[in-house]
Amino acid sequence: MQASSSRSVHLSDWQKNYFALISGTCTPGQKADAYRAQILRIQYAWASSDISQVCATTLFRKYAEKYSAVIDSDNVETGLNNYAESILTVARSQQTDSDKWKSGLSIDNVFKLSNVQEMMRAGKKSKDSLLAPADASLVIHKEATAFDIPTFSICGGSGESDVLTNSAHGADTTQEFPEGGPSLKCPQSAQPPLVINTTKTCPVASAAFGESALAKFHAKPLFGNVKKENNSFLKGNTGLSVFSSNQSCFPSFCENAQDRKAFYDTGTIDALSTPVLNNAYSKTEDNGQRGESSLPAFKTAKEQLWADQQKKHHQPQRVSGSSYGGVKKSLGAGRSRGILGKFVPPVPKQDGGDPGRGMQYKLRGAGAADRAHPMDERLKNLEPRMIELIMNEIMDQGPPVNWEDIAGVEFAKATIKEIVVWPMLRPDIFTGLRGPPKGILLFGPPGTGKTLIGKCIASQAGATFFSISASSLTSKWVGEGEKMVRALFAVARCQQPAVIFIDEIDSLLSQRGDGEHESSRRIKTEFLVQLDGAATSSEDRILVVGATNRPQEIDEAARRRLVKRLYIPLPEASARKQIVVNLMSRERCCLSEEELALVVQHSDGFSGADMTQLCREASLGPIRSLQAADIATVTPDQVRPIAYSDFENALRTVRPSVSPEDLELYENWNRTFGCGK
Amino acid sequence: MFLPHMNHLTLEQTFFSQVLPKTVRLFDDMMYELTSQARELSSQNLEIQSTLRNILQTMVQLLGALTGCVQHVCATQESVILENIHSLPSSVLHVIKSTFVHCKNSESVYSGRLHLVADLLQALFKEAYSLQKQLMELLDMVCMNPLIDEHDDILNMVVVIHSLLDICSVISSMDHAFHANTWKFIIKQSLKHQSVIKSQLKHRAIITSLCEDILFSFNSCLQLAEQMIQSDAQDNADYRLFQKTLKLCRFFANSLLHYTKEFLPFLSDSCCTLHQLYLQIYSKFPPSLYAAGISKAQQEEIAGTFLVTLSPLINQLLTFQPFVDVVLDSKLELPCELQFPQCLLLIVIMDELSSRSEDVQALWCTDSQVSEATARVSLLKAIFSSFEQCSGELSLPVHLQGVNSKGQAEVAVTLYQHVCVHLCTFIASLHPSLFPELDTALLNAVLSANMITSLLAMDAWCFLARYGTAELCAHHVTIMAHLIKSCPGECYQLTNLSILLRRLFFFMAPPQQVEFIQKFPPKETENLLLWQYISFQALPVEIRKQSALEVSRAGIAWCRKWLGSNRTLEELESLNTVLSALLAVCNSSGEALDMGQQTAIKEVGNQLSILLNVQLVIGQPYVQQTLSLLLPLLGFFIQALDPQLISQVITLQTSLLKLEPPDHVRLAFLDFLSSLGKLLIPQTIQDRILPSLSSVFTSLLADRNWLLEQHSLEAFTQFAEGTTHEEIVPQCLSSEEIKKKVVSFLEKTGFVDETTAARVERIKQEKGTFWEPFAKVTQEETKMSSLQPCVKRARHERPSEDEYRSTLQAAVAALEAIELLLQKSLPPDWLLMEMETLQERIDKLKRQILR
Repeated sequence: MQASSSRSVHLSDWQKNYFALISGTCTPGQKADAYRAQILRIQYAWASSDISQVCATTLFRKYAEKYSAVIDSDNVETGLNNYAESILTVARSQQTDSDKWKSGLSIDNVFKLSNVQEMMRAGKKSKDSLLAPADASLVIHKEATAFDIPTFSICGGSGESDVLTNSAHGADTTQEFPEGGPSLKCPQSAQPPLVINTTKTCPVASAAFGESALAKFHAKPLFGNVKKENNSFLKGNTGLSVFSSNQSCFPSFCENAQDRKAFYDTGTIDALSTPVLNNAYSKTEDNGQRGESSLPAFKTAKEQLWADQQKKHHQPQRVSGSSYGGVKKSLGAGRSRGILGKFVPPVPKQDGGDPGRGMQYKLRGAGAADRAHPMDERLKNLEPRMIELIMNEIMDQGPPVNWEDIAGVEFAKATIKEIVVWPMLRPDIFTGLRGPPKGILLFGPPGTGKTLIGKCIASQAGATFFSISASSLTSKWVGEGEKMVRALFAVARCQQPAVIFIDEIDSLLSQRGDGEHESSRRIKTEFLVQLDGAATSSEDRILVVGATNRPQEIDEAARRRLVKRLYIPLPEASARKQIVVNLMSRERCCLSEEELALVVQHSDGFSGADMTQLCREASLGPIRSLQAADIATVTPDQVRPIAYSDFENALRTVRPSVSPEDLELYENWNRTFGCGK
Repeated sequence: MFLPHMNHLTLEQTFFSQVLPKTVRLFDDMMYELTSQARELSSQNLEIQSTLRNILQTMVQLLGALTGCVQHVCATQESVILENIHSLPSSVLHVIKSTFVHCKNSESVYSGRLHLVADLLQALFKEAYSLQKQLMELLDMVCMNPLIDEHDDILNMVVVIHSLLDICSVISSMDHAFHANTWKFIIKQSLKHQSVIKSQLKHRAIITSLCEDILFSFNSCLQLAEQMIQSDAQDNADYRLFQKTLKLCRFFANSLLHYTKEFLPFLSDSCCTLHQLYLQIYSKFPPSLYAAGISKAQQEEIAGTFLVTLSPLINQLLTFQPFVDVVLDSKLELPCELQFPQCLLLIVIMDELSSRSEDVQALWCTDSQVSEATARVSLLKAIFSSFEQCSGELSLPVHLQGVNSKGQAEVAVTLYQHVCVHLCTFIASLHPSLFPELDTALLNAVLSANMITSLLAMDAWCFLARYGTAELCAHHVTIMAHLIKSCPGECYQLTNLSILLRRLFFFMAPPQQVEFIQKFPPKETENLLLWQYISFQALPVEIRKQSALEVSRAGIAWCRKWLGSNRTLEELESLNTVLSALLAVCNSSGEALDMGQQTAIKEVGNQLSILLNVQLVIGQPYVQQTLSLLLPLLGFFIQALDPQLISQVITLQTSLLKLEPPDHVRLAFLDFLSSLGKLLIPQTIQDRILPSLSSVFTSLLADRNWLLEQHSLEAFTQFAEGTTHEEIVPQCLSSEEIKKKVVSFLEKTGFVDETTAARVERIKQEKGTFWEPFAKVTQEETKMSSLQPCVKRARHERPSEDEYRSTLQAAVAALEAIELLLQKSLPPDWLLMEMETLQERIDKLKRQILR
């Protein structure tokens, strides 16, 4: 049926608006639109007689109030400020004489407007229709059953007191409307004809309005029993009819209002017992209020506009200045350095580089942990325990790393920037053939900074960093390793862009052989599938970074998937120098340029870790030179600076950890499979 | 060329005037023969074929000869006096016209045998074409001497122009470029000889046919754009044609613009045409509901190329009084599809007026009696009544370009916002002398039966209140207050006014608010009529507390008085006002009341609610109102209520629901029910309350009315979220259908999928419903008001089914009561008679129903 379908359409329309309103995400403009749509629906329902006028009025009032709260509010977040912004934009150029506006409405002339007269008529009509004259004196009393005998005695009692009020009322009316007087002045004489009249009209009225059957029922026994009661009933009737006819006779409604006032007064004398006192009281109150009004003062939109313009023209400096702090705070929100970059205070490198980056990194990590939990659909089929393990244990949230923190290996750094970091920052440019590889392999002798590079990738690309060692996958959760791998990738997919760094990847992806354990084999397979298989889509921004000292042991299938294989060689002389300078800058040290060159020269074949070890050893030199007894009493600045002799001593104990044979192996592998020079 | 070199006048006298009429006659004869014989043309009937071909051949030659004549006249002398060659142009134009008509109709005339003569027709057309070109060249050279008032000469020129106009309408669909050229020529000639022929030209005919041509080419433009969407692939040929047609549109519009500019004083009777043109164009163009479906790009192209030319047109006409009369005609009754364009036009006019002088603004903003038959309404009134008619566009809603502010990107805004912003802009720039017109118009609009129109007026008024002085705002509030106080009873006008009063009250400055309080002290019961509508939040803290206290004190006193008196229904109306004021206090400033006041209000509520019974509520509208006010009031104090009372209220609701109370009573139930969620129901009465409660919810959730169903869902959700008695929730969802409904509401699903096209269709249909009742109401009202104003009238809304039902229920209840009485005591002797009269009445009613 058409009606039912339109009903469901209306309902769903309404609900859409309703949900939009309660969602809390819509702008004030949208809210206003939604309320308007609802008001239109109410109007339509009224027009098509789905709801009664009273119901329509109630609903209209309710929604208009909510609507006006949005429109009239000058709160930027929640209100529309009467559209003042748009209006004043358009009206700006034109003359504004709002202060000369003089209203054309006055209390006298407003009642002559046809619409107002129409309103008065409508009000009168609805008042009449709400209450049949015969019902006017219907008494509302406690008992639900109308024919309970004892009630009548109560009724009679109250009726007696009613006579008084009614007569007072009658007197009032008489004074004001002398023409209605005679019948009221001598109710006794008017009584007989009226009785007849009532008996005749009552049934008619009661038939017209079913409810008056009840009234009639009330009235009947009263007729027989209490004469006074009867009397007052009739008078009430006549009083009312006189009242209404008078209303119609007097075109001026002010007089009507007075009339009404008199009517009210009869009932509320006690409420006004102390009018004078009250008045005085409220007056002093008001005066006090005027002085210390805590509410925002009335401000016209024009004044507001003027104030706005003042602000705009005179305070540009301050505006940008005050926003400085804001910028600092919001840097963490992943904004790349733009014009605002110049506001970042210069921070010493040693403290971990750009604080913005650090914050960004941290925020991402933390936010991700909060966000990802059970909500993401992609994590649905995974055990929550595993997700938690990955979240808690694997996801690395260490301090950020800068490219400058890595000495040497310029080629590797440049390559990584080009193929990894930039694509992660600008995925829109690096598409198609330029798309980033899924995996890279960093190989080289131990202690040359492979792990550091991995971390650096993550922090520079603003990616989530997962750092796992292969052993943690294989040993910790025996039998569930492949599930862990799957979970790892699933979580990473939810946290894109992500960098998965796997140290000692050789142990995870070693050559698959016959004598291998079933579970490790499964892990391997799963890993290869995840890395580049059906489960991975090309849009995913996940990078696997593997690091190994034994590249030759890696499975050839894995080797293929780790597209970029970068050799991280031992640090060259310049890099070694940088390491020493960097480490020594934090200590008290008196190394001359020549001495530094000598240290670098003697440390040929040292790895980065070896260099650190060397410096560590050397830094202990000054301590060793102290007498054992002094160690308890000496102050920090009494310790002598680190000198070249300390390095000489250290060089005697610290030996390179990488043998030349090993190096040759790497060089060979690099020549065969490597991507570098 | 065989024509001798001689003076034009001699040529005319000796040759043209002799030969040309004969030539024309000959041509007409041939044409007649052609058309009459063409029907018999067939490839077998060689005789006719050759006859026809001969005729055509001759005609081609004749046209050639005429071209020669014209050429000759052109070539021989530099300037030409039209009088001296007057028979030439008229004859030539006649021939040209009938040739074009013939070519145009050839399809039907030769009915399928066209190919047999196509080559000759082609030649004929070409000849006519070059003849006309030649003639136009000649006419270009014609000069008229304005000093000598040669009447004939002027008439000749006018005749020439109008013949060309006729030709224009013939060739409009044949050759775009030629059509355009002819128009160009017409306009050019009219302007060239403007000073002498301006009073002779039939401007109306020119404007009308120009408008027709604009509309025609605009429509074909839209059709092409529509096809392009359907053919989907970028068809270059289509697109080129589209662009060409669009250019043509633009050309015509510019011509119109040019012409109107020059001849404006003569265009009084064409204003209607121009107005219609504007409306027609915008009704076909998005975002009108009746627009063609065209792509965004084409839409912009059309707007940028063609529609932009229309606004200068409006600009020109802005100061022209006949145009004002047409646009603001009080009897203007537009068909559905033109109502929205009219609204747009009025907005454009308002925008324009913002920067005009006081006189122009006054021209548009004042009512006036143009003639006996027609009257003009003010622009402000017109904008509201036109807005009122756009209910369809409002509910879709259609979007229009928003205001570009502070360099933000332009966003599309709804029609409502568009109108509102532009109306307020106009208000902001309105000249002070016209302000009385404005607030009268606003007041009239606020009193409108149409909620959305009333809302617009309120929004505008609120802007006005903020833009104007504080005194003005206070003045308006006082007027509202007086109106509200004088209104004898509930009606939609009163509702609208009270909402506006509430809104404006927030904008009043504190000193004015204090004045208001002094003028209408809340401690006087008669003023509660006002205070029930005012939000105490609008008052500063101290005043707020004081006045809330006064209202509640007066209210409580009145309630007690009523309870202590004989409690007649008559006084219930005032009681309702008092209750409503108390409710307003509780809602907007509940915290300002001290414990004592709160307890007093609660007590009064208790006592009142005990009085209400099912019969009363069903039968008496006033009692229904009382109940509707009591329920939220009780809901406000729900925590402190006596459990016994709660149980009683719920029982009352249960028994009322069986009798199908009016919808607003059901709505009021919901207020109370949703507040029950916060309540911990004591163990002792749980058994009684919970089953009734679940039955109340079940019945309300299954309400037939969708609005009530929706509010029931909201109330139920609120209840279910808050309640500690979780076991009751499934009990309320007894039926599968209700459960599904509630679940899909909670999950925010279950929407009906409606395509955009279906939605537009539905909204077009709804538009009728929106408008009909109001039209009826106004009609009825006008009819009624012509009678004596105070006769008692029937309620103007049709009694709904609900009302019938409740009335009948009451009658049944009364009969039951009699039955009970009969069991208890002997019946009075008149009872039988009365019963018989009742019986008769029932029979009569039955007959009425059957009829």
